[in-house]
Amino acid sequence: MRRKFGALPVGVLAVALVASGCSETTNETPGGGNTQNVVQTGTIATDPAESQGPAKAVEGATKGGVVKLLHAAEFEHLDPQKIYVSDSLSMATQFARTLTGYKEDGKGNLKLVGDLATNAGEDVNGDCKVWKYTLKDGLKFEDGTPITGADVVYGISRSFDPDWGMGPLYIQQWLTDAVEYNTTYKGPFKSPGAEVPGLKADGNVITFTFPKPQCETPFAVAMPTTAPVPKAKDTKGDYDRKPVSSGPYMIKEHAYDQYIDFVRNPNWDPATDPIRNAYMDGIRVEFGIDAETGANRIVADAAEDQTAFIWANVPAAVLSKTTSDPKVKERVKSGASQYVEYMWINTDRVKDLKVRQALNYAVDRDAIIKVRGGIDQFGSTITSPTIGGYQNYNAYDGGQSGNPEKAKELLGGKSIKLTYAFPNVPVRQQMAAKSKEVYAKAGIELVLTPLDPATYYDSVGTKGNQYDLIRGGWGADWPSSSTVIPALLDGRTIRDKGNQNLAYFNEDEVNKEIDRIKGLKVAEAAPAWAALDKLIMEKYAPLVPQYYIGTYEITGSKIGGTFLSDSFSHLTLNTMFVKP
Amino acid sequence: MLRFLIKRLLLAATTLVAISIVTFLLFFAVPSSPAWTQCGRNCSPERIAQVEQSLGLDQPITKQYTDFVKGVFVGRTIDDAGTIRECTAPCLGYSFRSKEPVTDTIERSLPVTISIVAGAMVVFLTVGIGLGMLAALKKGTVFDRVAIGASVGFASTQTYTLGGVLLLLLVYSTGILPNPHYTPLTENPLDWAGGMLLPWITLGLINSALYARLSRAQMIETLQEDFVRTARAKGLSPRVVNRRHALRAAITPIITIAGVDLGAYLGGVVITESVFSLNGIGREAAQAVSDLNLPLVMATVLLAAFFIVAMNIIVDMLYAVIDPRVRLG
Amino acid sequence: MSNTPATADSRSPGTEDTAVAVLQPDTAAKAFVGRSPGQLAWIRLKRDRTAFASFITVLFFILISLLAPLISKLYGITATEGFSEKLNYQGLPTGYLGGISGEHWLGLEAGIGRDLFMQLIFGMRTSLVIAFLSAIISIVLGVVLGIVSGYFGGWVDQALTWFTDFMLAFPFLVFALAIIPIINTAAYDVGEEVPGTFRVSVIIGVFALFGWMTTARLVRGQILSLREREYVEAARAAGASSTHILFKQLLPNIWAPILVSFSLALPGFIAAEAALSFLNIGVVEPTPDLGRLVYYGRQWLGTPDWAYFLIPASAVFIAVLAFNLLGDSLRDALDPKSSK
Repeated sequence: MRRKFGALPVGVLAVALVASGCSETTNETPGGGNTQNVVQTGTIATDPAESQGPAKAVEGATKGGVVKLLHAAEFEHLDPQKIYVSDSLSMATQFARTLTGYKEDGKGNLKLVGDLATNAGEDVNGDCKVWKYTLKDGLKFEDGTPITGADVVYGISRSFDPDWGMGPLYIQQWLTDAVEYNTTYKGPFKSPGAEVPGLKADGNVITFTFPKPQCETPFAVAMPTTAPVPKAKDTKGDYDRKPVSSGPYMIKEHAYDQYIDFVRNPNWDPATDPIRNAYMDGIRVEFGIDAETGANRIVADAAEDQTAFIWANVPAAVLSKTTSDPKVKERVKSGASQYVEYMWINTDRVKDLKVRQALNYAVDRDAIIKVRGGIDQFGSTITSPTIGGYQNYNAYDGGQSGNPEKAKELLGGKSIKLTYAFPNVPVRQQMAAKSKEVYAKAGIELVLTPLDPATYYDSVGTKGNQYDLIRGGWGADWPSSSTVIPALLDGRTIRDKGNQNLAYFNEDEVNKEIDRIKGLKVAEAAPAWAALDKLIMEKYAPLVPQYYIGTYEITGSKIGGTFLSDSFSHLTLNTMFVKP
Repeated sequence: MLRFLIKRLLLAATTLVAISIVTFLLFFAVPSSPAWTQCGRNCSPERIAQVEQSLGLDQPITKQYTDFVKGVFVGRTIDDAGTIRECTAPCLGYSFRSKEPVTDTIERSLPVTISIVAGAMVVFLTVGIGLGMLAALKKGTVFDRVAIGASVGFASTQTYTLGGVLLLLLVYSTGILPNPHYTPLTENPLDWAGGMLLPWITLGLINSALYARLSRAQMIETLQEDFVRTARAKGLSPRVVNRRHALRAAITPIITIAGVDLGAYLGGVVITESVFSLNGIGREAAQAVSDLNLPLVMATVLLAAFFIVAMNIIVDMLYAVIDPRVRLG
Repeated sequence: MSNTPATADSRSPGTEDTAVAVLQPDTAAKAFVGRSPGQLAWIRLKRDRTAFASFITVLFFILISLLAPLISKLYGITATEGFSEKLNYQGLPTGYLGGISGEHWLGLEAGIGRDLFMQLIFGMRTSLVIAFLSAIISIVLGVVLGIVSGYFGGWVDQALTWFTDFMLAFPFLVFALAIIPIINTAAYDVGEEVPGTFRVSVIIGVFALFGWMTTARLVRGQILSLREREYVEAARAAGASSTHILFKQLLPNIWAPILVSFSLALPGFIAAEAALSFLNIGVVEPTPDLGRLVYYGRQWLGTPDWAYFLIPASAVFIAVLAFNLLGDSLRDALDPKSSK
């Protein structure tokens, strides 16, 4: 026997330490930086000149270069009529132009202008029922064929296909005035030859005729539902892999799960485009690089990653690397998003208002926010500050860290046990463990039930499920509460499966108010929504708003011109350029 | 020999069939329907039924299995939400997620895994066996102690810890090595090797250690065997004895183990692929499981099993060829 | 031959060595030289300082795991208690080295703010329970199946050999990914809490299911060579029952390699259990777990809170290393040929 082991393997680990020194972590909160802290109201442009191209030049921008998006997983969809997730939406802005679009300056000014259309929309009779859009001249697909009104109508018609319900449903439901919008018209494949109800194209003019007033039509047609699709080139299911571009970039190569190469679309005319500058020669998307790896690579800023960026929040563990070095810090773009994190209270099961209020009093938002690295903001309202008419309030003010004593008082000494459902991913596990610990102080025992992430919404969206508390989050589709409160808390939308109202909350008072506000013009509706927001929380407390989800993204040192888009909460590609 | 081979092949075939059946059954034990992952969160029960129908999930399980088997041998036609798709033999199914024959998915990801495994294998076989043999010949010296000491140490680390440390030290902090990435060998051999270097080193360090210990033990044992002693007694120089006689005898069992390892690795090195963000077959398999993407799960499981079974047969054959003492029967 | 469930790419270091034992089936039997092999082994083991040091380390880990609740009481902090107020705005523990202080000996977990020392010892408890039970069950399974296969021969042997090959051909991680969530959801009603102990049992079950094959092959090989020996023939001729021959004649002669496989399987299972957390199918919150701790901590490498990675990772490393060394020494001690 002759082994005597030196410190060899231990040495490897010791070296790792040297890499990061040893300094004191203090409790200071830094100020400044690139934090965009804006409350934007999202106005609709009234001057048609604002809808004219070309886009205003970005100071110091140069043409050329290729930027690289390091992305965790393949886009869920690229077919414009199927897209509904923020990363796909952001990407789509570069290959799928829509009737209207958001013009932003990075300082919080968000203006809805005509993109394909000459203006943000004409309310023909002034009653919000008939909307007219006229396409600009000189619009072309990537193959050079001109874009006509028929292409836009064909695109919208595809969204009616019963197999394709994954995109936004506003326009379809508004046109048919029905929740189940595709009972008669089922899209161009299943109802060939039939016309889309209420939708007409005459040359370059597209007219929407809604049975009910829809005053937010200009916002709704900014979603990729209205992206034109050339019928002759529609590959149906395969279109999802390689859509035909109407924007400044088109797909050159798409290796699923591996990468996509976008190159310039030679047939895109900047003179028609008020939104996009298209400075880069190309965009490469690389898949399979999780946020942690992506953030670490961009912080390291190796030559090949200097033109890289991510569309995911820098994970908690990597955050300190982005704040310790000022050179790295200036590459961070952070700010609020339209997303809000909730803990839903299943009102079918937790019927006692006092318990629901106690849950709101006891929540320790400070501790929960720290689990995610502190990038989110304290929030106690249903809608986020990015929504027009937002009003801040805290119906159950327990301070930064909650008030377990007040909660105990409400419960009157009872100890209760509630099941808490959340998707089984590491960060949610940690947050759930934190919630369990926090509520224990108020005498509320949480039973943690992690669920399979792939089918999470299947499980919690089923009416009559066994969960008392349900993790959820929601983001507005455009800066109006009309895409939040009716979608989440209108009790008449509750069905057997696939619910979004995870509180299973149904109150006549609220439903009636929703109907009333929906009939109001945008300017009057905004404060009314804010009041309803507060009423729901004060009177019913069907959920615990936990925090406003923050965005914290980073670019390589050679990327300029970009900022967090308020419409999609990711770094915008519209104004991005590669520094020479 | 031929009879043995036929028998082994038949047994291997039954193994693969059994594995496919178990995987299929397992998948149907999943409480939630894969249709949900297709339908998004705004999904009505009617639409779920439609999706299930278009995925063929409304058919009885036996019908679905026979369809699968039929696809493997003669190909089949799949109706994907109105888009008719031809899937030619060998059709392992049609991926729910990427909407393509799973063979396409495998074609994209397998080269990544092969690149990782082949390079790592070269590293740990040469370094590991070399070190182990040397240590055996210099048994009891400082070299032996250091080599074997280090090897136990590295063998006690894991890809997810050692890989993370090496990423920080060699890539993020110092930039000595490029980010791990995959470039096809045919496109740019240098870039291919550059992108694979870190996974090779990591897997190499951990496994060299295993092979070093193994080959050292084998070599020591062989050096004590009668035939080596005879050779030495005949007056052959130690070099010749070590090289011609001992090495050959000692290496045989190691080669067989390496072969079996190769089979196991080719089916996917999930952890390595995840740590280094490489989209190999192991990651695809893991993703497929969490997406409830049965066709891809089936394909990756069968492929992995195939590699293992095939390498076992090859190793047995090889063993018989190298070592005259083994008779197959 | 290889391929224990210690994950596809970071296998148990023991596997190859047991594979060698398969190829050299009768090493243990050559040991008879006056003293019993057990005595010889013990003498060799006692002389081995590495073995002694590893044994003490292993014992230390086992002890703190067993005594974790007691230590927690004396220490005054529980594993689930949170100290978010001691984290800065980014969730980093304030102070030095991840918040190491007189009160928190190993600092705090970043983000969630629990005491790392408590998480570590309770996590170690979970990991060791998983490793030990998995190793015991898989070895018992392997021994039984190996003996049955080797002793009875014929179609029983053929069937079991086929089954062994079948199990070896299964890609373990993919299978574990699929089956662990299924069992957890199937065993309990929706909304019912799946107890931590049940989740741990499922992991042990899956490990055992995929861990017995090497041992079975090893034991089968041993039995094949032993059953034709004279003393077995003699016992058989004297009319001894199969059970008697198996357990009284054969088993005592193969305990040495079994013990070695057992001790080398342990570190493999510790590492494998940590790998499960990496794939998100390991032990879930709020049950403390060492593997998950390493997984959480891994990201914090290179940040001011690198201790969050280093401490649990070192614990795993030292535990695995100690078990490996102990296993090695045990094998050397039990194998008369290697101790020159």
